[in-house]
This record gives sequence, C-alpha cells and structure tokens, in this order.
Amino acid sequence: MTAWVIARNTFGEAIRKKILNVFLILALGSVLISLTFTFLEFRQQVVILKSFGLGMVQFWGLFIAIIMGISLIPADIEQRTIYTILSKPVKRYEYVLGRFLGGAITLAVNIALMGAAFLVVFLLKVNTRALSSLASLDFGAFWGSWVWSGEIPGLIGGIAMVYMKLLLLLAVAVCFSTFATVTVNFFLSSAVFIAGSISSVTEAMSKSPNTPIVLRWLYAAVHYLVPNFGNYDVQNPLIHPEVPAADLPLYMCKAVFYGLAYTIILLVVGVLVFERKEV
Amino acid sequence: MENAIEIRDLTKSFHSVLTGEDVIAVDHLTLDIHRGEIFGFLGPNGAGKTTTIKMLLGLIFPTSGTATILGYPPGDIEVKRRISYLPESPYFYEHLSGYEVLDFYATLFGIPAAERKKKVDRLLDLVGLSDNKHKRLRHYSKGMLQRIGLAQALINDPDLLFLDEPTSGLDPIAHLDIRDMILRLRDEGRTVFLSSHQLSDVEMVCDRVSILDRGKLMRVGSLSEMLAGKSVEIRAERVRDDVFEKIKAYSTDAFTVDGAIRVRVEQTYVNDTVQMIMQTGGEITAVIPGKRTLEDIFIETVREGTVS
Repeated sequence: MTAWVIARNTFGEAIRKKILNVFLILALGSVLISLTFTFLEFRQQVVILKSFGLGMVQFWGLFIAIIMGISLIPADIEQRTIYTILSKPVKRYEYVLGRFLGGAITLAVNIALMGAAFLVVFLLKVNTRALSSLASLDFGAFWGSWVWSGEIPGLIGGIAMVYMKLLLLLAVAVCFSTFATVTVNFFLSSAVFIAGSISSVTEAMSKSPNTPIVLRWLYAAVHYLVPNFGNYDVQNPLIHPEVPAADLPLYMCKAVFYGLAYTIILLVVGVLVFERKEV
Repeated sequence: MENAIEIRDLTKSFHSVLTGEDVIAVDHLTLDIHRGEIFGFLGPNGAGKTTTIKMLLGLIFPTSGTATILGYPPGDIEVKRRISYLPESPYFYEHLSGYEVLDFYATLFGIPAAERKKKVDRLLDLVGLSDNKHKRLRHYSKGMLQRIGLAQALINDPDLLFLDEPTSGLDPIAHLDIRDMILRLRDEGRTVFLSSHQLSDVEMVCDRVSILDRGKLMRVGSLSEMLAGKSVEIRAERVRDDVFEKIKAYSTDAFTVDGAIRVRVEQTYVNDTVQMIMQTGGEITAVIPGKRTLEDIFIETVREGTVS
C-alpha cells in the first residue's frame, strides 16, 4: 500500500518532467518521419517502417529508462525530500519498491504511447490504397479495401519485448542508484546495457581458446552475471515474418520470465544496500 | 519523570576519504528529553545537531551508543507513526500543490480519504495557506514552504516533534505565529525537540536546553536555572571614596553615575558590601539581581569549549 502511494507520486512527478516529455515528443516525431520514405518500393517501405519504428521506440525508451532510473532515488536524497518520507511510517524497502514501480509505470505509459503511434503509422502505411480512395470521398471503397494487418499482434509483442528490456535496464539503474552517484550510475548502467546486449560475443570470447585464461574468466563472469538484453531483440522475425522462425510466443514468454526474475534479484540487492544506506 | 528520548553514549564518526581520518561528529552524547517539554538543542554550525537528529530518526546509523524514542529504537515503524520531523530548509515535491503534498504525507500514514481531506484543510488553515492550497510548491516562497513543512509535521498528531530551525527565513509575523504554535503544542502535551540558532526564540519557549559543541555536550539544564544570575548589582549614594575603592577590588564591574556608585558583585559579597556602605554613611538605592541572556550563556559555553 505504502509502496503504491510512492509509486503514484513518482509517476505524477515523472510525467511533469520536461526532459522525459521532450524524449516522448522526439520519439513520436521520429515515428512520423518514417512515413516520408516514399522513394522506396512499397514492400521495402513497410519493412523499413517496421524496423525503424521498433528501433525508435527502443532508442527513445532507452533514454527515458536510463535518465529516469539513475535519478529516481538520488534526486530525493540530493533535494532532501527523502528526510520527510523516511521519517514517516515508510519502510525502506517500500520506498525503493515504490520508486521503481512508479518508474515502471512511467516507462509503460511512454512505451505504450510511442508504440501506439508506431502502430497507427504502420496501419496507415499498409492501407495507403484505402486512404487514397478517401480523396474521392468513396467511403465504400475505403472500408472495402481497409486491412487490419495480421502483423499487428506480433508488433505489439515486439513493443512488449522492448518494454521488458527497458524495464530490466530500469531495475539495473535503480539497483545501482542505491550506492552510486548519478554520474557514476549513468556510466555503470550504460556499460551493463552494452555488455548485456552483446551477450553472445562475451559468451564466445569466454569459450575461445585464443583468449587468455584471465580474460576468459572475466568474459564468463560478465556473460553470466550481466542480464542478457539480447534476449529481447525479436525484430528480425517481426520485420521478416515470411522467414520461418522458432515458436516466437513461447520464446517471448520465456524472455519475460527471465526479465522478471532478474528484475526481482536486482531489486532485492538494491533494497539490501539501501537498508544500510545513510541518507 | 518519564522520558520521551533517552540517548546513551551516542557517537557518530565519518571517515574522511581526503585525510584518511575519522571525523567525530557526535561524541558520546548522553541526554534525556522529558515528555511534554520543549527542549532546545543548541550549538554552533557543525556542532553535530542535525547529525544527532538524523540518528534519532533512523536516517543515519550511530557508530556506537544507543537511543530510544518513546521507548522504541530509532527508525522503528511504530515510533515513526508517533513522531514527526521538520528539516532545516525543507524541500518537498515541487510538482505537487500545497494540498496535494499534505494529502500525500497523510496517505503515507494510512489516514482514510474522508478524514484526510478534513485534516489537510484544517492544517492549511492553521498555517495560513488555505488561499494558496492549489498553487504548486515550486511557486511557494521560502516562508510558505516553511509553513507547509510545519503542517506536514502535524499531519499525524505526533507525540514528539523534531523541529530543525523552524523559524528560519520567516518574516516577523510568521515567526511569531510559529513560536505561538510551538507553545500550543506543549500545552497539548506534546514533546518538542527544537534545534535552532534563534536564541531569543529558544529563550522564550524552551523549558530546558542543551548546548553542543564539536559533537560534545557542553551544558544541559533548565533554562530558568541557567538564566538565573550569580551576580548582583548594587546602587548607592554618598559612598566614601575609600569604601568604593575597597568594593572595586572584588567587584566584577564598578563605576559612578552623577556621584552615585553602581557595582556588580558576586552573590556571596552582597551582605558585606551593603553593610559596609551603610555603616560608613552611604545610602543603598537599589539591589538588583543580575540576569543573563541565553546568548551570554551560549557564547560563554562555546568559548570555554574552544579554550579547553
């Protein structure tokens, strides 16, 4: 209950932050830009639109997640608002959980808005012919040729995967923010995100006989400790649905469970550190 | 007398990365604060006052020693329901309005919605912010923020309030209002732990005070006892010069005004001095017990500490 009160306040605070709103506007603008790729062949336009749209949702979502995640707790400590909160009947774990939940809701709303804009643009693109019949006010032809693309559920799944990936990054940033300064946390969280995004590379390096043994251990440690953000890169089968792929929904479910488990571990570590933190 | 706060040998040291040494912020502090009193917690900047308050609230942890607040250890969730804290120069979520911020704090205490609304409105009225309750805090003046700070400190009807510089940055009227409010809190049976540099305020409202300097407790006691003077001023006329010279030898201050003498002597010399003047034909016009101010005591205590 207390965590939920803090989460609600965190969400209210975040949506009033100018920087996050700027990212959201830039993201919506970027998605709209993809409508201008008319110099390409129609099929290519759709492929580029899907790739570009999902990429933009992730790109701007990444900024939102990291900027928000690194400052959620330190901002309260620096501005001393934490004194009046932790001196109230609020347990420290409730505070950390509340701040994270508020961040997660903010991220969800932002990703949902960006994703919705992307899906609208996608539907407009695949219905170019139907839209052209509107110019001659032929509504019958418009409804007759309008298609609800069968790719929409997959794209929604893709947006959900982007959210899960960024939620995991948010948990990393919140965990680090219980002991690191905002600047240090920015670099730490970014490093973890990069290392976790090239998990297949670190795994290969840890097994390569050409790598010195100490570095192999280091690569293995990075590979096993750092969450694998690459798990959520499902763009390829979504952009090229004609290419046969493994059972995508099952894969996505497994990735979600993996992400939630990692998020819980990161929050537990963050709470344990914060329990002894002097504010 | 039952104690609201019991502090035993409380010590806090911080490790300085630059010098590699431990800096002692609070040094074996032992102190009792009685229930229902206004306790003044004084000390120059860096004396360890805020560090002590933060330890008592469970925001930071002591290096050694113990403390109990209303019988509970610092930071205990049960005690947090019964205490409140107004930090020095308080900061609140600026995206909220005065009403919303009080509602937020009230929700943290689990106060039901209907009761919350009444309480928030009453407190806004009490601190004179009813007309500005829908204004965002980022548009509040320093004085208004201080008032909202005091209102949030009253949201749970606390038994014990920690007030850190509650009158800082306030205009004279607001200053007076808050001083009256602190006195009213004591009349309602609450305990107030008041840390302040405004010695005149402390002198007017506190029952007991302590003076902390460089982490050490230098003085503690009842304000009336502390302020009671040890010297007495004697005014007399027609005092012979040789008698005046004798008195000057042991007085702390002696001078003449229009032929009359004014001397300040320790309490133990009062009878002898008066007798001597009267037996030699002098006339006593006034015997005035000396009274010191809290400022005198504060400066004297801190200077003594610096010398020692």
